[in-house]
Amino acid sequence: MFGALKKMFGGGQEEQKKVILAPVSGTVIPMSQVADPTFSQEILGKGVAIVPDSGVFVAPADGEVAVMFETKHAVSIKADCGAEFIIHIGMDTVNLKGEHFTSFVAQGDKVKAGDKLVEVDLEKVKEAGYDVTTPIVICNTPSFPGMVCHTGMEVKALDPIIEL
Amino acid sequence: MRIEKVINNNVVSALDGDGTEAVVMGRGIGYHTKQGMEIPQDKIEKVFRLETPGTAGRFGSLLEKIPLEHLQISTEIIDYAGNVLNRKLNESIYLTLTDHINFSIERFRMNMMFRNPLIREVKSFYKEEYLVGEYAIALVERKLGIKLPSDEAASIALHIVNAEYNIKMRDTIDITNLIQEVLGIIEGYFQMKLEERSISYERLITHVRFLAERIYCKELLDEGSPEFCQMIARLYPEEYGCSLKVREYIKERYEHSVTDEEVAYLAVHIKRVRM
Repeated sequence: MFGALKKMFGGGQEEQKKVILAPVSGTVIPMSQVADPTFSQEILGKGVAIVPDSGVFVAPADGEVAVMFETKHAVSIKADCGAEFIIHIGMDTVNLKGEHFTSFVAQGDKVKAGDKLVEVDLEKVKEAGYDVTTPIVICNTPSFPGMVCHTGMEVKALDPIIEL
Repeated sequence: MRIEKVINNNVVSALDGDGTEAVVMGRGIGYHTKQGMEIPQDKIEKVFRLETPGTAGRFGSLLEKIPLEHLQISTEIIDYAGNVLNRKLNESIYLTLTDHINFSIERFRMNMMFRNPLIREVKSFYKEEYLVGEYAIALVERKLGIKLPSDEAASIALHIVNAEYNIKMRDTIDITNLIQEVLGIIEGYFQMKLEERSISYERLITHVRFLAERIYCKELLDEGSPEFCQMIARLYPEEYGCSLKVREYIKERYEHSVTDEEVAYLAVHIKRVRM
């Protein structure tokens, strides 16, 4: 898998570090289409959202888990490349209080891109009436003035979605 | 339009077709005229329609006492401000700024200029309004040959800010102090000097300014989800702590409450200047 990635990014270690990968497979949409204004208005920063078709969420970059919310619906990572981002699985899913969510990492854990972070029973969450759209927000957006977000395509986990 | 009352040779109060009161300005408009006469269109330079009850009357009595030139200068400043700021100004600005301009010119002639202790803050927090103040000073110099000090540019700027938010002058001064104090709390909390030229600093100031104005207009944001606040508290614990400190300070010093959502937003902005 990593061999393929290296090929995709021209094999350069440097270039590989400047990319945020998809934490889950699904459809990538622009942040402006997300229902919660906290995200659509980019209050926390810029990024993309994924409408997931799988419940397995993995680390989109090498780094450290900065915050794993008790309710497991959101996790923030301080990546080795300098990006600080949050993956927020679904809208208002904080109200599920962790039900249908299983976490595999804790605050302070070092992670490599592809390490499993959270597994979600997507069908159960949808049945409970929640939108499962998952924003990936770069919280320190101002540090990356040349940031490019790729949207409007289907991705597999670990396909590139954001170039910093 | 018919004359209701002659205020002086150049200013009259008048009744509009639909009976609303207006103050009309124009050279010679009140000379040898009396109540009930129709005002010739070509003599009208400016019509002030002051809809707030009482304002028109107060404006009229102010105009009785002041030279036409001062009114013209003040009108020109207000027109300029309206254009460059692209914001609606409260009509009371005609009363307050005209009075202020008149007063400053009188004081200048008596050699009694006041210092404005907030000049530095006004320059940095209300840049655009301060530029209007500088425009005003240049205008006074051009029209009257009087060079008012920069302190006056700051005072005029504060009058404009007042009119933007429809708040009292005393509150505008409090707000300006409050912005400075909030920045001080942030610098003290993190033992850092804010980088004044950065975009994040500009954003922080703008945010704090709007926050202060929302506090005084009692229009605080509180629609946000409780999750937003919890999320910020978890993501940015230090900045959230600093933001809580600010809330505490505003409560103690100014007896104003700040909502949870405002605390969270402020934390986001503090985070950005620390990145």
